[in-house]
Amino acid sequence: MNYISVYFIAFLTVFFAAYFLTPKKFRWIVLLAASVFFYLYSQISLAVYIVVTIVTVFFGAVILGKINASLKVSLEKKSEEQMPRDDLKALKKKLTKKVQNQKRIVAASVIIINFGILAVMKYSGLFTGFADLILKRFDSARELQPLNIILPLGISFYTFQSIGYLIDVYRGKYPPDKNIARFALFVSFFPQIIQGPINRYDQLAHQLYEGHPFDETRFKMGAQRIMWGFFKKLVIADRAAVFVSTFNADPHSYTGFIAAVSVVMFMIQVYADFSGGMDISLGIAQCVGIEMTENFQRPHFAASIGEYWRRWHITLGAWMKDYLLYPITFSVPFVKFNRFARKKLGLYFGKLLPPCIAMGVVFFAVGIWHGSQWKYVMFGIYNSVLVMFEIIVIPFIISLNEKFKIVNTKTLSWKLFLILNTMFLVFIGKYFAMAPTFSSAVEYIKMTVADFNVLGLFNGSLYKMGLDVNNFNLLIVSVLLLFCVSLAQERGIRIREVFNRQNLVFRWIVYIIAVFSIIIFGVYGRNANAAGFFYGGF
Amino acid sequence: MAKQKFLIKIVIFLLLCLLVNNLISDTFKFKGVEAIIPTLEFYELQKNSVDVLFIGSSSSFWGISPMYMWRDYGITSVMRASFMLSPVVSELYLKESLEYQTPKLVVINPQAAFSEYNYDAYEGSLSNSLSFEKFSVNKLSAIYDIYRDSRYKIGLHELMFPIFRYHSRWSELSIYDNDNSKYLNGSRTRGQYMVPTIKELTFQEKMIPTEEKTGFAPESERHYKNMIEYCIDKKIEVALLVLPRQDWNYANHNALQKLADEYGIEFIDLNVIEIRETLNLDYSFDYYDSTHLNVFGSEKAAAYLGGFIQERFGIADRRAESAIADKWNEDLEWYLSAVEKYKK
Repeated sequence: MNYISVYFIAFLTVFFAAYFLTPKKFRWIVLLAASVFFYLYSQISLAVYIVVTIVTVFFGAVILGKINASLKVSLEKKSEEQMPRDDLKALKKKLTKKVQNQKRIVAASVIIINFGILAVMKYSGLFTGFADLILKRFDSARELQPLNIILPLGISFYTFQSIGYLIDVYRGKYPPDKNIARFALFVSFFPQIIQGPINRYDQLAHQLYEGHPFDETRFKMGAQRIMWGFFKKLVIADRAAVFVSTFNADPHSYTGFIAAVSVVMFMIQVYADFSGGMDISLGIAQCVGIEMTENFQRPHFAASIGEYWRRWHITLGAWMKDYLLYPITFSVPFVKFNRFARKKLGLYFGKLLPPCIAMGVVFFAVGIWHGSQWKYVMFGIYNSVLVMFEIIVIPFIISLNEKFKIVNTKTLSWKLFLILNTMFLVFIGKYFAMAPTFSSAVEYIKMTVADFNVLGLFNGSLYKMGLDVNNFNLLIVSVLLLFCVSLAQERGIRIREVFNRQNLVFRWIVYIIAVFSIIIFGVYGRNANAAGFFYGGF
Repeated sequence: MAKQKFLIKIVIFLLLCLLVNNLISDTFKFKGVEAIIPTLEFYELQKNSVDVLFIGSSSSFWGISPMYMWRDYGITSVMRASFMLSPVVSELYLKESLEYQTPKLVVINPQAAFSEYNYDAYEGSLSNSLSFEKFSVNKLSAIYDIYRDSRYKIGLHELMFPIFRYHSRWSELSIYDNDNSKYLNGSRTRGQYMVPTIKELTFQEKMIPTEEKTGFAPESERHYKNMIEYCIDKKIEVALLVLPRQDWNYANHNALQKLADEYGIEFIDLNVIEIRETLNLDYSFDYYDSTHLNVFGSEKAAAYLGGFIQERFGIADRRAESAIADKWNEDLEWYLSAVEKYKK
């Protein structure tokens, strides 16, 4: 079921009514029923994959929980036994190691099954590409056809969320859920299924299971957020998408200037699309009293690439940090490498190189999380290099500046420079994300450098990219509005709270203007090419 | 208590939205001829002032001239037709028209009964023919039929609230979009779309006698039968009509003749050889294309049709009734001068 459809609005209306009319004790069942309905309505044929994830992760976690519990009991029993302290310590270590191995087997099996499914679904193209290359060495006439696989709805998001839960149970952070239906709700909760956020069990689960009372203020705030999300998606993102798709359809017909503007439009499209989708998802959850994790924090105000990625798709970054970066950096081989680096490269580089490499691996993973094409690999490598550069070089530059006082870093102009610099670096990276392939991304960059004619701003070429003057100008005005709202939020102004303090007549006039702005200016319907959410394809 | 209060607020808000929608919706609707002529111009007419009502799609829209029938026979008639008019909307036009006019005769062009309406291909024409029709139980029923017959491809919200369909027109709106009268000719054509374009055709005889009958498409057939039965229930004379077209054949004729015989009503087929020869159409002048007469051809069709229906159905010659004739004659003068301009 597409968010951008009347059916979804009807579904939401029924959902809210059912939730608040059901006794509190059973409201979690309404959430589960709505999530099951949403998933089956959207994609009944591929529902088996999410069921496999739910079943394998649930039972895997239950087994891990039992192992953890039995280890705890055994250790307590051993502590009560009368034996020398060293012997007791050695016995506990042996017991723990044995149990660790058992846990590793269980966790690894579940992870391999689920990431295996994800890998086949998402990366079969890459594998068949490699296999085809190898096959051609032996028989150049043969060609392996890529598998035409439709991705199950939300597979990247629910797989990561479930595996995060499994690893937390493995680590003993909390006991496993004993109720498979409740666990199914945690995995399949419909506002998060299309494009996240990737929630944590200890933050979300109890909220899902508790029935929340109706609260008018909270419902209003949620509804306001949903409206804002629709505005960003339909008025901004889908409008910018027209410009981008016009360019991508025939890039060699346009100048380098238009290529560059297309990348800027792509940045606007992806941000408005993804964050708009988040607003809708978080708004729905807020209406029923559930607070999901924020996934964006105005990344366009980031002063470094590292900060950018801490503000963009926050939950993916946090997942990678907790379940990939930390396990890498605290692993025995890596600790050994750490010591080796400090010994051989000195304190400065020796201290920075290991986390640098770990971050490089993480960003590579973020890149290929988006897809199997080489352009995403390049996207990951590009961001890895930037982050590694920041880790290694920036501290050195900062200390130089402190010594020689080259620039005053406490000024607005310096902050502005850092923000624009970061946006420029992000802009370069987006060439790889926007272009259909790696080689076309390189073509676009060459075009931009070789044929960048700023006169394109004045010769009307901007209005020949699928958007007439009125639509283009509306897009600019909408983006300015988005920027103003972001700026207010960045300064700590809680816009919805300020708004809700205003008089009823004013608020209702704004609501009506907002509703009709979305209806009138939204890009949808027969003549529009409005698709689902951009990140829904991951 | 809090929930009830909130629900009341929601209802009031939705009603306000509905009010705003009603205020601005017309501004966004497409003002093409297929939207304006069959609906807005129809309601410009004086109530209960016509004796004959024509319902049909584009061949009627272009090929029937109420003004020539007035000139030649004093028949007061009006057309409700449009491009690619769906059988559902034909039925709606009939029912709504009979709320506003009390004709003695309804003439239906049922040639669309042979195929199911292609909702995908003709969605634009469908929406345009429906958008200005006033909200009523008949319209709600038509909307439901369209939604179901189109296999739910056409959005219910677009049919109920045209602003969802026409919202993207915001970038091409002009001050005229707020004032529909700028688009009207004061109903001077009585629902005809005057097309002066001439296409020279080479006549090909397709009316070869046969016993075969073309099958009807079930859903389309249902709507035409509904229309016939509706007229019979209201004790209004009803006839079927097909205008001259080069793709017509006897199998189609036989099918419609059988339908007419089932209900005991007249079927006027202007493609039948004897009638066609009476019309004396000029294939190098009177056609817009092989399936549509132009405004010049409509004069000849009216010459035959007017005489036939006056004699067969006793439709009055009202040229002597000054109360209505003055307006008709004034509009006829305008109409004839427009035709003269086209001839030049």
